[in-house]
Amino acid sequence: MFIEEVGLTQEKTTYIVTQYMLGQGWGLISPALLAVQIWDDLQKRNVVQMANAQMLKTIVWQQYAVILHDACCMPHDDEQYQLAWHEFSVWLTKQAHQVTSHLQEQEDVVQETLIELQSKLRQKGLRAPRTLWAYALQTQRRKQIDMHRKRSAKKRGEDKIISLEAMGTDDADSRWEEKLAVSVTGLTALENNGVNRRGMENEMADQEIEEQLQMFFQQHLPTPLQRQVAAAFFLDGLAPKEIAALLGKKPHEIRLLKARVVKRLRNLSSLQRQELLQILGTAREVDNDV
Amino acid sequence: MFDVQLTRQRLTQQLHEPVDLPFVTDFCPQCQDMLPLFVSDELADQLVDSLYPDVAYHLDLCLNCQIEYEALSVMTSNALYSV
Repeated sequence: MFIEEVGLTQEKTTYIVTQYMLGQGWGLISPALLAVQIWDDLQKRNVVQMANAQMLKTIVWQQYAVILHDACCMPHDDEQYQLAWHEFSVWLTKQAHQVTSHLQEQEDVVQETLIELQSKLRQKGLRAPRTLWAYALQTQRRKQIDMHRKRSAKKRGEDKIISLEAMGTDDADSRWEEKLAVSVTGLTALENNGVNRRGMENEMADQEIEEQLQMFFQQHLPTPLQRQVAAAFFLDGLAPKEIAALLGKKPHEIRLLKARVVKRLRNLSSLQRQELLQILGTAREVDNDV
Repeated sequence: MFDVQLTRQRLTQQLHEPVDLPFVTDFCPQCQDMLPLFVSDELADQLVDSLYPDVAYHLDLCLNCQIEYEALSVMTSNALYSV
């Protein structure tokens, strides 16, 4: 896994912020000015030594989302308003390849998306402006799906809906997990991560429950990856981002893997589920006693 | 770090949910409207399972919303971090 150098200087901060904003095509505020604001904030929070490029990018997109959102909500004759919508349109065009490879369809999707976003922002704006990017991308994806459905319906004379349920079959699950090929280093790190387990007053009883759960997962979960993720969630109490960091994966991949673990456990026979509930019930009783 | 007891309690609750949930549930529209917030905050390293427990709980169970969540996570991550 790539390990990034941590600890920033003001020059490095300015460089990263500038490069990132240029790459995104964001210019409603001077990158140097935003970099100074971010640097001051990092210093105030005393986190300069912990900061890295990834963290800086996160701060920039969050802050710039608010800047762009507010500019897009300005009166129509304002220069910032015109600039903001032009910039937003260019950014959305750059992202359109993620929803379709067809050039004409990309243009149409961007236009439809912009119309919907303008209507939304004209009414009352977003409750949390920092979500502007994800909101815009979700709108773009929905527009593409709508357009695709309409075109398919026109072509075939009827709307054919692809069965998404098929993605939940065991075959699809194992193919999906194959894609998440486990990094051996990550697994070893996870296995050795017992130190991160939460301490409890009733340590002996808790240890027994953990052993029972571990054995249950060992018996009933089909892949090593599912067993590792189940242990990380239900024994170690790790969050998806922590597990993702250990395995060199993304948090959403871990969350989806957890969903497959839950699905697997829910689909066990009633007897097996009862056994698991009994172990979990004991855990709850112990917790209540503490 | 999560509260491991809470995580286990949620699993207990999930094991009691009907096995054959409909593909689209009453909560799906609300969940999907929350996804931009959930995904944005997850990318920003916020503890979304504590901030939006209903969405996190529903995502464990609902394939329909999992598909939306995965698509939006990948798209947003690509858009904001591939530069």
